[in-house]
Amino acid sequence: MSQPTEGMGTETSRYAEFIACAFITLIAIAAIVNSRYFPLSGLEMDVGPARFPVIYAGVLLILAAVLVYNTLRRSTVQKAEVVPASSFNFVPVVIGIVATGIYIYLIPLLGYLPPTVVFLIGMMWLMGMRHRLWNPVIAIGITLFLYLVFLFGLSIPLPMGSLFEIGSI
Amino acid sequence: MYEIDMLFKGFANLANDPVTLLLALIGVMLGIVIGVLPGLTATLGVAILLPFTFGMDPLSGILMISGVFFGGIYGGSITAILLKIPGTPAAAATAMDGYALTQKGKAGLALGTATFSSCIGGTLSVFMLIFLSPLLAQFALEFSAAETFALAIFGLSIITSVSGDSLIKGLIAGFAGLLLSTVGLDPMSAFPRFTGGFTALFNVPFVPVMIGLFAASEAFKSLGEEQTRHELKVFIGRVIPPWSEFRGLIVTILRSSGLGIIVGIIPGAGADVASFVAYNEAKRFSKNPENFGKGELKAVAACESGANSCTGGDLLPMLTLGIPGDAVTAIMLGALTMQGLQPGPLLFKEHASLVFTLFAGMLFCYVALLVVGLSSLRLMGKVLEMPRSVLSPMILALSVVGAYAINNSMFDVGLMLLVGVVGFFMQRWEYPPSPVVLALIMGPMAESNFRRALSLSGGSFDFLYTRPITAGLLLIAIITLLVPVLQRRIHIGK
Repeated sequence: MSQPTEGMGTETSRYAEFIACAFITLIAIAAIVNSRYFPLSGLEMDVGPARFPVIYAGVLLILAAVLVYNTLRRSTVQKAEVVPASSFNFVPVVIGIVATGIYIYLIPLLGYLPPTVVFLIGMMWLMGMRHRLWNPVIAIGITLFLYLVFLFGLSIPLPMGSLFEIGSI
Repeated sequence: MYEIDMLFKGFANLANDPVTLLLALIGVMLGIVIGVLPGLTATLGVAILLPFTFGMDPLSGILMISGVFFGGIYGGSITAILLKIPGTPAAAATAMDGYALTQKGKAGLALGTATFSSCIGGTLSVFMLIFLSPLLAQFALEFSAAETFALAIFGLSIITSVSGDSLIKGLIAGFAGLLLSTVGLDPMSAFPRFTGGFTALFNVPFVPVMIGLFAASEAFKSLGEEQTRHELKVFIGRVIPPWSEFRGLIVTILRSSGLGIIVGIIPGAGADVASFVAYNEAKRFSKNPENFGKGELKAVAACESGANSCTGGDLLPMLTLGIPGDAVTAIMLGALTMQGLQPGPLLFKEHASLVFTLFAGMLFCYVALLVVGLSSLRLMGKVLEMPRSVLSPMILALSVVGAYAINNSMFDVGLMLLVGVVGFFMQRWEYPPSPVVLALIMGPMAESNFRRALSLSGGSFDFLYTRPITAGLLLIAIITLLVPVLQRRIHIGK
């Protein structure tokens, strides 16, 4: 189902369109440039490894240009549609993404268990659940459940952490 | 008859495998829970569950995923009826009359009708799958590289149908997916393309990309949303509809199921489309169309049987031709490949016993859905009260573990995070994720078969129009590509 076009026609959404188009254009150009270094195919009748990426990247460039044109046309021809500001807050999202990155970085070092418990407590706190007892209880419960399911149910051991492995030696 | 005989053998295999039946049951239960929770879809459920099925045998894994798929489609109706919040897009039509019935104090009747209709619709669609898929697979056995290329193009043409509000953005997502699909070893010369020296990218891992795109992105999105907690204070009452009432619904359920099956077979059209089509037709055939929207039980029956009968139709092209019609079946295709099974005509030739046991298991899933659905309706109120502040961190933790589990690789986890961030911005800026999935699957299939066909034809492009099946499929692909474009033009013109 289609979601309502939140913020469509506002300054912010137009900037978002331009940023997205710039990103797509950059990727497409990088792909085309990189494809130039691909070797020709050894098979006489083959089009080679570069042909398809170049076609896809070329179409992406055209589509990005069409989107920029449509966005510019919308902003000049039509009056910006006034849409009530949404209650979306980017700050927790950025914190959450960074926290997930740090969590992923720490797993190989500290193992699966300690970072996951801390990560879950922190994320629950970030989302507004701030209970001194329930946050750690739920975090430990989820962490242990996943650990045991993977270890015994699926025979997949989760990382123990290189620091602990060095310590055990 | 071959199909009946094989189906009975499938039931016999299942009877000797209680663990598989238990896992299918768990899948259905998980699917219902996921469907009940607003914001979580069957696609997300299937993506998260995928790594868990890796260690299982193919039958158990695929059946568990099927259970989540079926349960997820049905589960959305519960919140639609009780709170007017469609748990899944497919339940949006159910919400109209289902909630009106709840306001009249008939919540139990609406929920019971939805459960029975879902079960009947889904069961009929599995029977269609059983009888039609061997025929389609037999036909597809004749396909060579040229036909397979045309089939892949047909699969890709669905992108315009799953593009959502903006066709351009859908196409951009699709072509970005196609470009991404070229990362890795070249199918003909094995030259590494865009890998940046990472051997892990020689074969781009599909599962972490799916988890990032559908699960992690959703969790990131919920971090920025206002946290609302749903509380259920509704009198449910009698759940099983009386025969006198149900008798009047049978024709509606059968008609809606037929429509849902047809909609399901059409790639790109999913349960949401089927439920609205079924709703419209039920209204058109009704003697009291004015009651629709005000609490008409036939509307609930039509929507739910229509939505669930779509499931079998969705699976038909995926299993027989290897082309997924939507994101869920695309992930299921990935799951089959991960289990060492290549969906397509050869699946029916080489693994016929497994396929028919899978069909028998799907029928079991729908019976399980009926039993679990009817017995757990009161419990679902509690599930609904589960706060997002617990659910979203749990989804993120599951995403990390799931991405790791496939190859025991932290590289895959990093890739999942990267795709999750991209997926989040795609959601915010209204770029649909489904075209990316379709492109990731169909892209390599299109490229490798095109190049193979070109080599076989001695460098001539004649194979595109001299082979009837290839030409026919390409023509259908053009029509599929253009119909949504023309529809939008007409819509704008009005």
